[in-house]
Amino acid sequence: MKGIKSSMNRDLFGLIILIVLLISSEILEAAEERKILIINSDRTVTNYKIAHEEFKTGIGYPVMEIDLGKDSESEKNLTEIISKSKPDVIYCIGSRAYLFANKAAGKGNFIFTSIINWQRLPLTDKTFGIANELPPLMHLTLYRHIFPKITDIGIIYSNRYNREWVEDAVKSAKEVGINIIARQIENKDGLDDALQYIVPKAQAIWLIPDPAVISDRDSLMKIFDKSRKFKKPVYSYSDVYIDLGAAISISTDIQTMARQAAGLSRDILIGADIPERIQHPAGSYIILNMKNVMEYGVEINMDALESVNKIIR
Amino acid sequence: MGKNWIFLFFLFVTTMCLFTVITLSCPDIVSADKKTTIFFYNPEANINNFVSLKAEFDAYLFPLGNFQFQPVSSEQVFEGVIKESLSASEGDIFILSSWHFNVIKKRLSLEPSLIATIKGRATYEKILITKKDISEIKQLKGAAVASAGSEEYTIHLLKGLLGKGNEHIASSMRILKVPKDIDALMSVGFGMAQAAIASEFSLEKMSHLNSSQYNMFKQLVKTGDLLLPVVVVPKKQSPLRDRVIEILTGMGNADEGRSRLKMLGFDGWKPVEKAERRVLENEGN
Repeated sequence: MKGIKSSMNRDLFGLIILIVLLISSEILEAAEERKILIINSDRTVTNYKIAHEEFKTGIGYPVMEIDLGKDSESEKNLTEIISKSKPDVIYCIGSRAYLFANKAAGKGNFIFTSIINWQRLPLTDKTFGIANELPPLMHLTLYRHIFPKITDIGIIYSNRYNREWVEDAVKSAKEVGINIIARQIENKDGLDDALQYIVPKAQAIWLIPDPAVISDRDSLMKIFDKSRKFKKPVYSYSDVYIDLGAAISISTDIQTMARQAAGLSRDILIGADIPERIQHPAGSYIILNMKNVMEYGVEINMDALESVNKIIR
Repeated sequence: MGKNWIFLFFLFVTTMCLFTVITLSCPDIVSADKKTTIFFYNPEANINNFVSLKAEFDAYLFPLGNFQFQPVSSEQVFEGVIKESLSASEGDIFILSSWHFNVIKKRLSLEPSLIATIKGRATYEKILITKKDISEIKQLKGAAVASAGSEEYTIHLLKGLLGKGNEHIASSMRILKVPKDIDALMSVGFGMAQAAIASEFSLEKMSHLNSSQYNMFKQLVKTGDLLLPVVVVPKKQSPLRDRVIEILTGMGNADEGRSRLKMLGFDGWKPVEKAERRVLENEGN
């Protein structure tokens, strides 16, 4: 009797082990089956390449990759590859990648980064992403941190592209003790008058991405020439303006943006609750043009230097 | 004529032998061009402005002697550099976080010489910051925490901050590595993370910069005093060690040097005192 009992116990134990093994192998298989696809608009673009590599490092799952800048496969073939592989998440770098993914796998979970003005994209209820632009309050907090004595900042903008953004900036500026002097123009014909009004009044000029204001190189040079004449520093949103004489550029940190995208992907895979489908970027990249700052005699906060990513002398 | 040749030949051989003996016994002469390097790596802060750091520190060090500054981006590379330098007795100097020194001190023969200071203090606190709607640690299960430190360092801090019994919460948290403390704090303000780890100094800066964001924050828990980064030197004496220490110490006394130190997140150096040495030697044992 005792022998039978012990044999039954052994069988029961064996059965439990078998069930545990089966369940864990299913879990493992499920984890292994997770499919992440990266679609890059063009991997030869430095910022797209950085985002691609950082995402790949941070995601913790094997990834499939498509480079639209290089892949010789036709869009039709790539669409077929995507529909056969059925990825759980598609990470799209740049607008070309997003638009392609949207067309090729309309029902998928999409995460985008590196897209200027994402609001114009066709969005689905499974579109997630990181905006490419820092919110005005982040810019203003960082400007205030680096240039604590500058409290009057001028902006030239157009209602067509930036009315709401400027309203937000004016409101945010008050939170950090900054006064925004804004002047609206319809097109480049209004630029001279706007500069004449803004530059003498403001302590610094904030160059924002507005196609009606920066419509061509001449317009851009007018802004920099006027600010140089009045020794007013120009704040900018991109490093490309540093060579033209911008005193500072504050932009989104690409690596942080890709890490956020990797975090969003993991949240989607585990079915976590994601309250904000489109997030603000969490990291900033600051370039300080010391040559310009010294020339204009602008006072900087030395304690803020640890926040600066690159100093130009 | 033949004797003269033989004499000249012996003179040449003797000169060469003497030169070899002298140069081998005085490595400084052989390596006259070898620069003493100050290597820097700090996983407590995501300092990635390497090009600017190298340019600024090299410009400062250039008139003072054959020295150079070399920031390093990864822990693995940094530890490899230390090992190589120690085995070749290069006499290089290393700046690293106190936490990292504790991690490697048993493996590498180094001793702390200077400790960084901010406004004269060699210690600081890290704070776990959330929005005010978080009242208990358990609400942070699975939350995203923004931090400028490396992932390993942030996990170490979180485990200490959340305390015993909450290790599972610490390991459930998703770490969002950001470039700087101020980004970590704004991530909480703007909702990209539910919590942030930042230094008391950064939090104080935020209180002046943006009081509306600051007023949203809750200081959930603090680390207690942590030591700032240290300058460590090889235990084996090298000829230029004292000179480099003297130069580094002097950096905090003038604007030129202080502005460079501020790029690393502090403003001076002081010799490691008994109490600090005790902490550095005993912690992590």
